Amino acid sequence: MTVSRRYIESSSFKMALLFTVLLAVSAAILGYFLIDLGKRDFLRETEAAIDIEISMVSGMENVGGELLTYIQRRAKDDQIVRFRYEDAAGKLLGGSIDPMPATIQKITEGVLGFDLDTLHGNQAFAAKIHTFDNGTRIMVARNVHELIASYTQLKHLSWLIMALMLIVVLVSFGISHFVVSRINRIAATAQHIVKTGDLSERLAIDSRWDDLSNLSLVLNGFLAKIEDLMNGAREISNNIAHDLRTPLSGLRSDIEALKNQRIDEEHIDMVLANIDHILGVFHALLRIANIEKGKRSQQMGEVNLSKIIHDIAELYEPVAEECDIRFDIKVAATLMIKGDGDLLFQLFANLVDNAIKFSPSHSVIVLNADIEKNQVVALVGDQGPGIAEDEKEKVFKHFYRGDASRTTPGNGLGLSLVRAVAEQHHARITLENAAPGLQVRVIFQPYR
Amino acid sequence: MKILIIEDDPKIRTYVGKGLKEAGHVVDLAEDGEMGLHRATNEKYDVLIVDRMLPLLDGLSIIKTLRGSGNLTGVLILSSLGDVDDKVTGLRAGGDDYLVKPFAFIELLARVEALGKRASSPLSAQSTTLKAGNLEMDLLAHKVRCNGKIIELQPREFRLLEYLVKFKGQLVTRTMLLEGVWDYHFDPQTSVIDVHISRLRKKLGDTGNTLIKTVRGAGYIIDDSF
Repeated sequence: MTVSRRYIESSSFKMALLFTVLLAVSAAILGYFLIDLGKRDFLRETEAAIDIEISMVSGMENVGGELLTYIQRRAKDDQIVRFRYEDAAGKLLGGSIDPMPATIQKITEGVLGFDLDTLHGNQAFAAKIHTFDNGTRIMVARNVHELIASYTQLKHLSWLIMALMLIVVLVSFGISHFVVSRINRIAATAQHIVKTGDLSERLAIDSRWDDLSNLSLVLNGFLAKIEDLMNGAREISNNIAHDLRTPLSGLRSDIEALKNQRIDEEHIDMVLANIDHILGVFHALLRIANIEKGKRSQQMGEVNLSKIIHDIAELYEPVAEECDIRFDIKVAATLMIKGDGDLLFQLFANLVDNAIKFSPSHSVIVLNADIEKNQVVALVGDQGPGIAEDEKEKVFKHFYRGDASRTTPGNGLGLSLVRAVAEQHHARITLENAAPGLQVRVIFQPYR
Repeated sequence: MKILIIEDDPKIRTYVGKGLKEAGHVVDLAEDGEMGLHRATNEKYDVLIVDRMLPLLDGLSIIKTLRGSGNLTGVLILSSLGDVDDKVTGLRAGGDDYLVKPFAFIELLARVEALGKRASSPLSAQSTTLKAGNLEMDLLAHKVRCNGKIIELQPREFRLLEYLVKFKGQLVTRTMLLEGVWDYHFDPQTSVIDVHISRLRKKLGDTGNTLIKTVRGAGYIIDDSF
């Protein structure tokens, strides 16, 4: 019930209705034209020609010989005209119509129609009979085959057009019904999703040729994105809960233990370190959120990536040296990009920090930056264990910590921050296994 | 030092006030913006600690008003707004330093004392040489002499040492060093500062950590006593 009502209220239905009305009007005009301009009107011209012919011959009535020569001459000149001149008894006196055609139909008052043999076979003729005062009659006939043929053609064409219009009407109703039912299905699914909150549901796609399937595809992509974001948010809150519960419960037991003890400084430091770790996680999360929000995009200016990388190397060089790791720096003299110097510094600090963490001692960390194919590309490469193929996407997620990093210090947010900064700079990050080691490439937008 | 704390949160106000008094300072308290501005204009303080969000008059307006009237007292802004942009607005408004809540008291103390020191040695009186014990720094020639021996330092190591020596006898925290010595605002993941300090110690021949002392859980201090 609601489905049919919704169909009737839909714009597609209204459009189909409008089409139908317009086509019905056209059909009516065409029909009127056909009926009004019937055979009669069609033959009016012929009738008039016959009338002229009759008025010509009627002036010759008393001169039988003259009439017969005229008939012969006319018939020779004009193949369209034929005559039959007969006496009162119906005996043929002259003319080519002989015998009288077997079937004669009356087209209109005084006009007869029949078929005669011609060079092109049986063809239709229209005729009129004039009776002279002496009882003789002359029948003047004109070939109307062409006229009737075109008339029939017109009639058939009109029927064809009307039939086509009917088909168009049916098809437009069909299309509107198809469209409306699909839209209704999409709406129903959407409503169901709203009602249940189940974002895993998808719109059914049964064909790929129409716009609505395309729309469904787009909407499904949209749903997938929302689901992904929702899952991400849920995962983050779960992770926050989980990641902070461990230090918080540790903190709780530490504080509880202090109850029965003489408070010593070491204990307090431990408690403070726990709290600082928790605060650090919050700080990092807020920072990522702010970068993702693009809050700092107004800080974008022209920065020299080469200088940033050299400064990073300088900052981390003593740290690397402690682990017997050497930096191999190959950086173009100046690489100007549009960016936020502080955030880019943070990005490379996190990458280099990771590289140092996972590098074996006596290894080399490669820091490269140059222009490749019109783009500024920076590379941080280590000789550590690398990242497994199936982990490459996961490592950027909040709080994700690969097996290799479980034992290292950190909060699982370093690469999340890297990705947030890169996305803010419209830069792309690729992770490649260099066997051995990992190569992180940061590809910046070409700077104009 | 005479310090004014303008902070509406009673817990932080009394806690910071108590801590600063214990550290030997004279402390005045104000719990809203108007009272704070009144006190700051009518009395001479060495350092003001101003919360950003205050009833009646916000912290940044207080600072702007003071600076507008030619008051150059060192101001430490306290705020829970911890983004780099927030810091920049705070410092542009005329604040001298910016500390994000929650903070460690020792960090606050170190910064307040650094501010007081900066105020007591105006720019004109700054010399081109710095001294701490057996250590001598020539800021113009970028030379360092320790126990009469010239020591080669990288530019960043020089700045690190300069910062420590400038605030000799005072605690300098790791974040203060990060902000003061490096040109970037960033969070180091590992204790990069510690590694730089230990390298600096090595170069200075400070084997027993007697020159640059570590304050556990807080930062470093260059002792001026010898």
